[in-house]
Amino acid sequence: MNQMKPKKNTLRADGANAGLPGAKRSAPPLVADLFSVSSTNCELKPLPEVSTVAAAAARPGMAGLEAQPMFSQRLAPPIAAYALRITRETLPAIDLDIRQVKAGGLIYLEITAETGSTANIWEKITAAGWAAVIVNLRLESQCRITYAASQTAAPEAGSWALRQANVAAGAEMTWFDLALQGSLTASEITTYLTGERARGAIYGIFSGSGDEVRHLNHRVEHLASRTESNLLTRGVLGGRSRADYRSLIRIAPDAPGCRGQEREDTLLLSPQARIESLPELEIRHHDVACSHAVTATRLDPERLFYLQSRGLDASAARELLVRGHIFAILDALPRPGLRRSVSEFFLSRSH
Amino acid sequence: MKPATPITTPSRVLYDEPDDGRPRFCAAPGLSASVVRRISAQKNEPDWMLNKRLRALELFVKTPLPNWGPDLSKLNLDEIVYFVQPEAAESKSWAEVPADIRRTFDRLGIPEAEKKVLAGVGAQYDSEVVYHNIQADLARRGVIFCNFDTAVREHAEIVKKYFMTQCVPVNDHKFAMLHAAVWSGGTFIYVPKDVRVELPLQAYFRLNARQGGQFEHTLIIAYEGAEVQYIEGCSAPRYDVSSLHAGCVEIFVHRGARVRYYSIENWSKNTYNLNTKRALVDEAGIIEWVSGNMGSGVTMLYPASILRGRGARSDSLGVAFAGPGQHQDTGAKAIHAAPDTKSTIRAKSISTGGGVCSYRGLVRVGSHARNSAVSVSCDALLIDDASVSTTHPCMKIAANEVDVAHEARVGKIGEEELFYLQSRGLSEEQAIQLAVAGFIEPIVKALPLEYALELNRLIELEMDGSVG
Repeated sequence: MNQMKPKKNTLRADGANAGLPGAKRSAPPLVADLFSVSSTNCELKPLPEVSTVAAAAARPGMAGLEAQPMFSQRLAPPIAAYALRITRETLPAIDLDIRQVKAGGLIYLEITAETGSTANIWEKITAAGWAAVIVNLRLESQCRITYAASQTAAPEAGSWALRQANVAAGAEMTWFDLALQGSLTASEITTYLTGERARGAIYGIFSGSGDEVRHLNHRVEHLASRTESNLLTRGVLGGRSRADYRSLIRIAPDAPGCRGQEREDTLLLSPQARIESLPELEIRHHDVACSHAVTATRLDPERLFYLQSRGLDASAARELLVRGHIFAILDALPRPGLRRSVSEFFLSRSH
Repeated sequence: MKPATPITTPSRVLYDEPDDGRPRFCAAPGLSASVVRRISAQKNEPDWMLNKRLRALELFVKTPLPNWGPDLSKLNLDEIVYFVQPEAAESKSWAEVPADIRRTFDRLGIPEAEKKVLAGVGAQYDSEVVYHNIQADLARRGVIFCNFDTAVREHAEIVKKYFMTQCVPVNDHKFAMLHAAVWSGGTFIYVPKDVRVELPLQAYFRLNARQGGQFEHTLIIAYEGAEVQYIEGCSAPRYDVSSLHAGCVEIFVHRGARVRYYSIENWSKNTYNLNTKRALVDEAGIIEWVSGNMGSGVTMLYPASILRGRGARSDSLGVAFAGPGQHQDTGAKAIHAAPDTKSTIRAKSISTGGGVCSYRGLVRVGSHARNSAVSVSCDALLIDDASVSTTHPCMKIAANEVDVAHEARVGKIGEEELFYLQSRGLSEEQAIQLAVAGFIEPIVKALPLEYALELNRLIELEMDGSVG
């Protein structure tokens, strides 16, 4: 799946697509095949590096992660900074393929979705080395964007990602955060609901085996009235893997009528696996309905026994229950190809 | 004795008026080794206690304030009087207690509570217990229920073994260090093997001197198979300068024992209530925490249960109320360190008039805690749009044969509920009060009757005028 062939109208981020709108020969030097965008009728432009990096680094979430030694040594100025514009003419399926990242390199991508546009973005990090990505989305009113990020880095590598979306009135932003493979994946997603009746959802699946480490940090900031959010993450941890899941729903003082819910369920397959969850709520307006829930459970021995009594062998029964645990999110994935690849990943994975 | 009105009609004024107590010995404001030595000398303490105090002071000076939780920047530790001794030695009977002190307690409803067959009354007036009454029956069965200062003198061996050693060590956190350095007064309860104390033991703490600090130490030891319930109430008069309460409660629940600890804390609104409460629970032991946090400007209180014996259980129930200017940062902790342990945490909070309620909890399941179960639920009610509710539950799970569940909800009072109650003839204010009473009912139900009444009345009082 890491050799996704660019389609006919592929815009290459290395600037090789001369003549296509926005792509210039004078683009900063890039490692070939760094990443590619395949879609039609969307516009990709290189951005001046320095300002965007400064802007990105000024984000509060960034400062926190930077302080951790594992990141500070690997962060460097971006080797690619691009702006992508989605219009009403853009075909909804957009693939962002992040294949090769120079050690310490950072990719910065700014995406603007025009009023009324719709897109299903599938970002794949399949890099052999470390990948660091910052994605900044801006949704104008009434558009619907789904952004699925699947992180299946090489087992000895990892990825670090900071993604955020600014959602205007009536628009809907849905994230899928799929932290599947790699020695370390750290992902922070923040949705700012800035317009009335904006909606934001963050769904996640994390999987860990061996000594893998997962950091997920999902936040929704309700800054306008009658906004809604839904956070749901399912995790499966085996071996000596560890996961740290944090989430926050914050309701601003001048945002009445908001609804928000967060939920995280972890399946612990081995006695050495560890999960730390910190789902937070910060409510500053009384006209609100918010809830959160966290569970950590094992494979239910009774269910395993039942399935085996119906003729499944132990490993098939286990597989079925693991699949059942992540099914709510698997089933909601927007693209058949993505659904298939996650499904296959879980089949091939021995936790 | 005239019936004590506070039980049925509590009023803020009653609780907040300072008495004309004439302190016999009052330390100068601020903290230093000489203050600590004077406190220790005043109490005629053995050397080991003085050394412990001095060591704690050293640590306290070195340790920075916590960098999380509520704002403590207005707390000036140099302005606090760390020790005040009222003009009364410990008395055995009510009549021997000085009249002005007696009046204070009359207002707080203590004698009335005693009449209602409570087993004994220990009341802490400023920093020393002035009144203690142990029913002869308890003493005969080997139960020790006394002032902590007395315990240091008379039961030195037990105190030395348990006091701030394994439960809350001296170096636990900044305010535990402070407590260890300047503690005075408090309660010591020792229940021997297989003795069941049927009636709850009770004490009332009150802060009276201006800028007074209250650092009472409570140590409860329930030996194998013992059972005891302890009720603690706190109130302090209102003063202009911020006062500090940094108490410490240590509970040892030995094998198969059961301890239930109630506390209703109603400090005045300018108090910093930075308390440490912790229980160590051995095999098949049960600890039950029931707490109500009403007063204080800032509260930081997270009763912790360390379940270190197989099959140990912990049950926490808490209600917090934050009115204008208050920040209640409360919660509960459960540390599962043995197999088959079980903890439940239920927390409710009400914020009104700009008050801030935070639930801050920790559940840690260690890798040895096979077959453990955890259930946490916290609910918050927001009465008006100036109020704030935050939830910070932390779950750290390192074992897989466990069932862990946490849930929380935040919302306002249902409009339909209010509409219905008003259609039945209640005013809006009454309807809201009834809905609030219903919201905290599961916790109030766990309290002894007069405390339940007091809690309900206090919340009603706090809510007064918060509507419309």
